[in-house]
Amino acid sequence: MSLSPGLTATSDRQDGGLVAAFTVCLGTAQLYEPDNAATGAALADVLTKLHRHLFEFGAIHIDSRNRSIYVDDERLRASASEYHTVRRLLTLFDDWGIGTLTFLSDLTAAELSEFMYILARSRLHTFAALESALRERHIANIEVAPPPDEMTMGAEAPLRSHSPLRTYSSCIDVYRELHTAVIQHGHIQTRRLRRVTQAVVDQVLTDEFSMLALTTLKEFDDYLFNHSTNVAILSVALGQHLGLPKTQLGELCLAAFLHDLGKIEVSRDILVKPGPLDKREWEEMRRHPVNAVHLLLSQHNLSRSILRAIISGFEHHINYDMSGYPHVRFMTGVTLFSRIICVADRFDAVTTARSYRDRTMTPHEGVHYLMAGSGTDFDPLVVKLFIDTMGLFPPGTLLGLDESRIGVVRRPPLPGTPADRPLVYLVKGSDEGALVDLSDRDDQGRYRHTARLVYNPDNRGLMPAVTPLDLTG
Amino acid sequence: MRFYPPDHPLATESVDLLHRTARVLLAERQEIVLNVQESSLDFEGIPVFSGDRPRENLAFLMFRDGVRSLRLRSGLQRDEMVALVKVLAQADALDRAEDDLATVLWEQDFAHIDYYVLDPLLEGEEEESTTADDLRTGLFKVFGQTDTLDLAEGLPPELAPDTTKQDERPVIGSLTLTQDLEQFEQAMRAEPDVLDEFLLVLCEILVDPSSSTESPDVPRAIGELLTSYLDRGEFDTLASAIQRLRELGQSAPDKVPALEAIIGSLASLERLRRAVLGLDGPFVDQRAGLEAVLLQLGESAHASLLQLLAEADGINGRRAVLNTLAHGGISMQQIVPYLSDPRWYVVRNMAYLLGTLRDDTTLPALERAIAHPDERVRREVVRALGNLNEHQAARLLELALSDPASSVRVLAARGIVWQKGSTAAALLLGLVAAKDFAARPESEVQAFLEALGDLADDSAVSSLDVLWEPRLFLRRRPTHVRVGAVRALGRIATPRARQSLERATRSSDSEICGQAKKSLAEAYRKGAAP
Repeated sequence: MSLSPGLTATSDRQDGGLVAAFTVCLGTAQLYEPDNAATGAALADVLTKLHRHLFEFGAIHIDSRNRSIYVDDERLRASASEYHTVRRLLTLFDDWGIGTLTFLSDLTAAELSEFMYILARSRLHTFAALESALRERHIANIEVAPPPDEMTMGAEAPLRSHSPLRTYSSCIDVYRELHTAVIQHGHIQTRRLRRVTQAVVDQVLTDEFSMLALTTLKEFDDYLFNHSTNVAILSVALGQHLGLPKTQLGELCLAAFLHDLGKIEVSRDILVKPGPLDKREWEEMRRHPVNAVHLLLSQHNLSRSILRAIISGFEHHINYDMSGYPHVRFMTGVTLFSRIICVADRFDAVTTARSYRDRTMTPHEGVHYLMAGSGTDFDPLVVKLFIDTMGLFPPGTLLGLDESRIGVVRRPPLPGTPADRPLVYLVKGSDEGALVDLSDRDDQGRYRHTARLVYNPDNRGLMPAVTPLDLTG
Repeated sequence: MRFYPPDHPLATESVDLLHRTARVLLAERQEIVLNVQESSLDFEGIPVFSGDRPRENLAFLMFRDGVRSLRLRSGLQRDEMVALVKVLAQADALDRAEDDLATVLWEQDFAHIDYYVLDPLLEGEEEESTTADDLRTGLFKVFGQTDTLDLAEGLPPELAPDTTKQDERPVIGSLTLTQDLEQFEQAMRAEPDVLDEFLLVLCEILVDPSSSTESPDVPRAIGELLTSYLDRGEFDTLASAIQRLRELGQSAPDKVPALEAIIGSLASLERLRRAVLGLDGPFVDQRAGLEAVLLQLGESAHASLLQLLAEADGINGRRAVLNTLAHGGISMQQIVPYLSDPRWYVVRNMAYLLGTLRDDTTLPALERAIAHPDERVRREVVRALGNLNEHQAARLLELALSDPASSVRVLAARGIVWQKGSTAAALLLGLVAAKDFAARPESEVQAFLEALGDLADDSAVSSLDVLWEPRLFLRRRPTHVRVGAVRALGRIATPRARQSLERATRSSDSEICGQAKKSLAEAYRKGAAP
């Protein structure tokens, strides 16, 4: 066994001022008319920042690639407080199909204003529409280019092209192998664990909603495999919203994936017992955090990510107020990773049907459960982030809409939209099979659809947020 | 980078050249894509690197781990190039149970380097497992039951959405305020290092009453952790960790033996060697930290440190060990065997340690060592004798006044002054009065005259007068001898010495006159003192 905390090399731009000003200006343009003072001030701010760069370099290129924003080839590293700004810009680039946005040195205030209002107010978001709008309005000093086609650029295949489902099922397979390996010889090969957890991070970064939807597949395999995979996905999603860099997300994902590793050593009779546990059984169950530490300590190389996994394996049942288990004497706080994993773990646990309870919480109740424990069991910031990430009706929630339609929440609300207005897949009533965005408004600005009831289907809490069709691709 | 450390000039130059070349190419074409074949790297269809021996063939190592292409993009930074080269250089040394090139490259999170990895588990090369099929089958089943679902309402009334005022409900955007996130960023900056957290977890498990019969993994891991701090030169952290373990022992006395065994395991020669020798290498600024650690290790480290004292040829390492042993309660019994070491510097260091003990029982050992053929050893012995206050020590110092080496005689003269009831004054007077005295090195003359001034009384005044006064028909003695004699009179400070100094103040020799005035003032001060 040796300790080898890893090092990373990155080249990142720390200053996100321009991007922040850009997104603020976009938000203002969505709300106010061009002659409004707030819009004028926001535009002036962007223009000043742009001109400062343009004066020095002649042109500014803003690229979106690998789920990062690059300004003049330097990657923008977003801190927690800047994360939403960068994410909004990434979403904007995705929506319009923009790969590169270039501002040229002769950019005028009028051109910038026109461009902002195109982005803010146009109904049709396609790259072709944007190009044609720029042409029609004679905006010569702003250029847009689509993302490069990876296949035409020399590489044999696109980067990390695996599908969310493949990644999800691979996680379950790898956990199954892990389970067998631990039982047979007690040794864990972390290489495959790293591969799949790194793949989970890549998937969450590129397609967060698909991965979140897959966490609602809860009843099709051994609980521990599904649960560990789900907690890994939920944790990475939360970590992403905290602006954690990719390397740390990798560590978080591995730690979350292995958080319940110690349960492998808990008797299966206890794990699946269809009733309350007696004192001895509880004692055995409460040993699983310590079991996880012992299992992971058998590794030859205690890399930084394994150390994180050991810490979170031990801490994930210690509450924010230090109650819970194992009882600790010296610790005065729980690490951030463990606080994140704790929230993800409890949410997935309470919303998963288990043999020992007749009724499972709906995801919406799961959110209320987290809110009720905020500040005592859970870190309040992580709970808020959880709601920001999952919405008040997380994926899998079965909602009754108006006109007796029933649908499953498929993805959380997009950033900037109300937390109670997700995208819903209709499973009953008229328009069955259609997707309904609860944040859509009519011409008068009223919401077209509204959630009126939360159902608990067969008391198992939720419905899968993916359809069989989704799993055929 | 396989053969040289990253900061070696050859490694630096190679990386610089590679980076410059890449930048030139990237300026022309925005990106460079290398396709990885089994035994070659291709650029635009042309092999640009190939090799036959698999273990040394970079292409093979990349191919084996599934890397199928590598793309460098414009904006590539030197530190990224260094990291890439470092990763590739270590590709064959990776523990394949834990890592491969794909996982290590991923962890670098390069901003301007992309790569494509073909992973049979995650991509199309391997048949999809049955898990995906199971997921689909289960999903079909659930959706097939949609019509028969028991749709119990899932919320207690107080949590249910208010269906009467849907459109008037406040719009909820992000619950997380910028202020929250800024506080979080501050908290993250203050969060302890992962190794500290790890140690805390291990400590919690170690003192857990129910873990008394557990495997030895935890003590072993704590030992490994402490060793890693030691190996990396993180001595301050190690000192805190040891402190923490000792505190832990206070609250769990039954664990003290186990904890001390863990701490004691650091004290082996092999473990301490790298740290001590490193003080004259990579850990050059860490001496105080290591000394703190070594002191915490206490007696368990003494044997190793004595051994290292014989090995360490750098001044920092030697000083750290000597300081530690000097302040850490080393015993004479541990030192004495090394006095017979054939290496002069080993004996010298032991003599130093004997001196730090300030213990009269060390005299027999010092007496043996003062006969050492190397003057550097004898010097240290004389220093050690100067720390003792015993008749036998004074006798040995008196003998050393006639040592063949001037440097030893100087130290003996300085040391003898502190011997209570020394009878060396007469001996010194004889030596000073000897014909060859003035021809001795300046430092020796000075030391002898100072000693004489401190130990002698009126009986020495006339001899000193002879030394400073001008000689009829003969060449004057060297100035340093004459000035030294005047200074010695100032130290004697008796009325007769003062009279002699009065005369010297009238000397036509400005140096004698100047020194005499100073010494006279000193003599009066001394005479006025109770």
